[in-house]
Amino acid sequence: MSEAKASIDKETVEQVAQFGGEHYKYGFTTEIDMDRVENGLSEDIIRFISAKKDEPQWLLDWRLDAYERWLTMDEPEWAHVDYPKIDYQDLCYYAAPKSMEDGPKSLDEVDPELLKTYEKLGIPLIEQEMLAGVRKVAVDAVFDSVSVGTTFRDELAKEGVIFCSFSEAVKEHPDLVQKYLGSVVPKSDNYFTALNSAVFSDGSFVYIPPGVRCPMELSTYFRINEANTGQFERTLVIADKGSYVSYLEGCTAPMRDENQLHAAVVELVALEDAEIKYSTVQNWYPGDVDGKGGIYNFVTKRGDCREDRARISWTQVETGSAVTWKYPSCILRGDGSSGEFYSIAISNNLQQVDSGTKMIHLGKNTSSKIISKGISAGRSSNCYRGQVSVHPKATNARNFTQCDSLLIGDKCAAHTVPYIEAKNLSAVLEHEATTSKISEDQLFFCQQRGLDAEEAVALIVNGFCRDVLQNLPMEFAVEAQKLVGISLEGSVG
Amino acid sequence: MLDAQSHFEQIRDTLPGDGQARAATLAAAEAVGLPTRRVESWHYTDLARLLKSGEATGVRTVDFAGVKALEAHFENGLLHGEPQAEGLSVAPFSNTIAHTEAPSPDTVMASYNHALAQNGLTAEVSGTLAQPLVIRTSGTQPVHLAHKISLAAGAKAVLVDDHMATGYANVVFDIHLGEGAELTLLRSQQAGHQVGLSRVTLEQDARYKSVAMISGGTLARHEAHVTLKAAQAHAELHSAVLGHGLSKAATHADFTYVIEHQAADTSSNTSAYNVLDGNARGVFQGKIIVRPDAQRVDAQMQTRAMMLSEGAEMDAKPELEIYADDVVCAHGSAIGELDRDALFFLRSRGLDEATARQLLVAAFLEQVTTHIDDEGLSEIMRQLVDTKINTLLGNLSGEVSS
Repeated sequence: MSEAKASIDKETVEQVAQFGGEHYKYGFTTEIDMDRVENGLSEDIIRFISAKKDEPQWLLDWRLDAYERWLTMDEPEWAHVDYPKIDYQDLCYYAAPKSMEDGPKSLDEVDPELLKTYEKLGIPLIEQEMLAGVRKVAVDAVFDSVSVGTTFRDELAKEGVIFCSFSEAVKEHPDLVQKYLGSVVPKSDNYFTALNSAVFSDGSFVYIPPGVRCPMELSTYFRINEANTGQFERTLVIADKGSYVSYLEGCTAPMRDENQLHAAVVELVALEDAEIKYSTVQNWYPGDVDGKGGIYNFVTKRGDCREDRARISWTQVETGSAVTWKYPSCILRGDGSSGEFYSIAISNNLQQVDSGTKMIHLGKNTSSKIISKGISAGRSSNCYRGQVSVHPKATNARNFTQCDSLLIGDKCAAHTVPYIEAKNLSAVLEHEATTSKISEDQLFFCQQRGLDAEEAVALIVNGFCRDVLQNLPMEFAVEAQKLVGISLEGSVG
Repeated sequence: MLDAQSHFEQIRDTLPGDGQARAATLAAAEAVGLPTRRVESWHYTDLARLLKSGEATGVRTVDFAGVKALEAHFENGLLHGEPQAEGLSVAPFSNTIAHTEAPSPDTVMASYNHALAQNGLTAEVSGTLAQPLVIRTSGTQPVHLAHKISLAAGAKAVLVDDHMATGYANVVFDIHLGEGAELTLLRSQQAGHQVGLSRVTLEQDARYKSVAMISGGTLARHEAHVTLKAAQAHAELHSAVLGHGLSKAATHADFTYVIEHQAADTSSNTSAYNVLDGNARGVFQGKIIVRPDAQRVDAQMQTRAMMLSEGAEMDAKPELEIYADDVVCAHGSAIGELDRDALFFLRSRGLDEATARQLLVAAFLEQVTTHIDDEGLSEIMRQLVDTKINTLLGNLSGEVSS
């Protein structure tokens, strides 16, 4: 075992021990003056949000059209999740810190209370502090409905990289936004995208110019703070010809008794020879041991390999949320394009996860790879749902899928629902799935070496997830490994 | 396409049992209508469209007449000959199979069957049947059959479902295996439009094996619900599809299984092998359910498809739904074309291309026929495969229609 590995394992174990009673360390709330609209959804609210953001007419029309379509749609029921009906009129669709109203010009003007919040979450927004680190990561921090600040913008601008909040992008780069918004995920794609398209408040916008390799990792940190608020953010990443970007996303929310809705849309566009690597560590508040509270995470993420040899890779670590409904997908349109999906989904207590991916092979010589590791503990339910579809013109398409489920305890459930569709003779599609529990032998072996049951489980689970953890950027991988241990807290013994 | 209501009026007087109850069941089914692609369990089989457009045809390649067997022959729904043997008791058809559920899009075909069932074999096996029992279905008329087969504790039987009817057929098998009973069901469909459902329950130590071969006909939908109710029950379901034909005459073969492990220490093994030529479409949907407390279950499921032409399509959906932790469940799926390396290997040994291809396809399907223990029957199935492959690869391969 390498030294680095040993220290990481040690850290995992320490971390598990450290959080003995406290399961969710991000559960605090920030007391801050908020500007929020009344609960309820109507054309007026949409006009209000649009006016608040000073948006052009086309975007308002776009929102209103989405809203009209949403009214005619039904909430999807096919997922293997069960939750009380959401009252969409009892939600707040816009909440922003009051201090953001005058639009602070730089991070120095941002309410210190906000900065403290992010500091507490371990997300430094002060650039100087970051310089001490090994690698630089530019951060866009989204607090409820608005972006509070984006770091390293100037340095990125030197390379021509645009990294800013969605609202700013609408103002400063309207052509790019208008060209690409909704081009991967149409507004009426499904119930939640229509809702998001109507009321989305902020998010991140990234544009990498041709031939540029983004000099640092870009990252967005989402924080829901207000009670009874829905968060509807929109992320749009465009990698122009021959460019490369690695993008990270993190999210947390306070511990609250009621459920909160998070319905985001993420669109990725990769042009010729471009590569996008998108990593998520999702750690929304999962609810307590009895399933009270927690976030409903209904997210639509899709990447479009629009031109030849484009590459998109999704890596996700899903540990939070009461209910997750999420299928990061790749449309492999360009010839020779490739898509990857690496996922760890952990559910404990009464969490419900229905997550997976779609790989749609349209171009010739396209390839895709899916590695999914589902871990269910407590009384939770964990479902992998994925589709691999090879269209008639996608000659020489290749797919390899592996989805493994690990069950911890006899009250949890694990499901696998793959859809495999081949409409081309030359397609080679392989799919493997297994379900098992942690073997007594492995546990015994670890315990014999002096680890207690919980440490042993964390260690074994980390091993089970290794294929996916390896694909995370370094900082994230360490964080994710700790999370794996913490999420399974209390699942054994 | 079958007009169920007028078909009912036509045959009403000949149907046994309570006509009122049948009319009510039919009305309930008609209110739901034929399943469409929007119904999850019928996602890949658009029944209404297939029944409308597909040509019901079939060529008899082999028959089971050469095998020494007991036979029940249903021609256009009429039973010729009643099988008689020691350990077998056959009762007149009465349509008394309990049917209480209100039809949903998932179960509506069973409701149609219940409303329109005109005949069926009601048999009880109490010992070991010395010969296979063949249920032969032939004719050109639309037909609804409901078979009820039950094996007493310790009974053993081999059942053959020889489907040669060229018209529309809706066939339900209700099968119950008592403690320690063993049943092998061999199914062959060479013609027609068949929508089939088998509901199988297994008691302790019972063993069920089904081997199905679709070699003709334009629609074959075989749905099986297998419930393992007590310890040491074991179920095996193996299927082979030799799909061929162009556009409307193409085979559409759909195997949809739900295998439910209700008790601990039960096991199941499923495999599906599809060879698809012309515009044939193979569908495999298999769901393994392990109920809470059904510990130490071993469930395996494999799907394989070999695509022989540009116009063919394969859709697979192998599902796991697991509620117990001490289980070993796995599924695998592989879809691809004929292995070029293997082809090269055989050609380098002096075989011509056609022979090499035939050999590889035969070897692929051999993995299903090998599960037939009865020598006579397994020989017939091999013969069927060989003859079909011969005509298929001789004539059709490479032809495309879109």
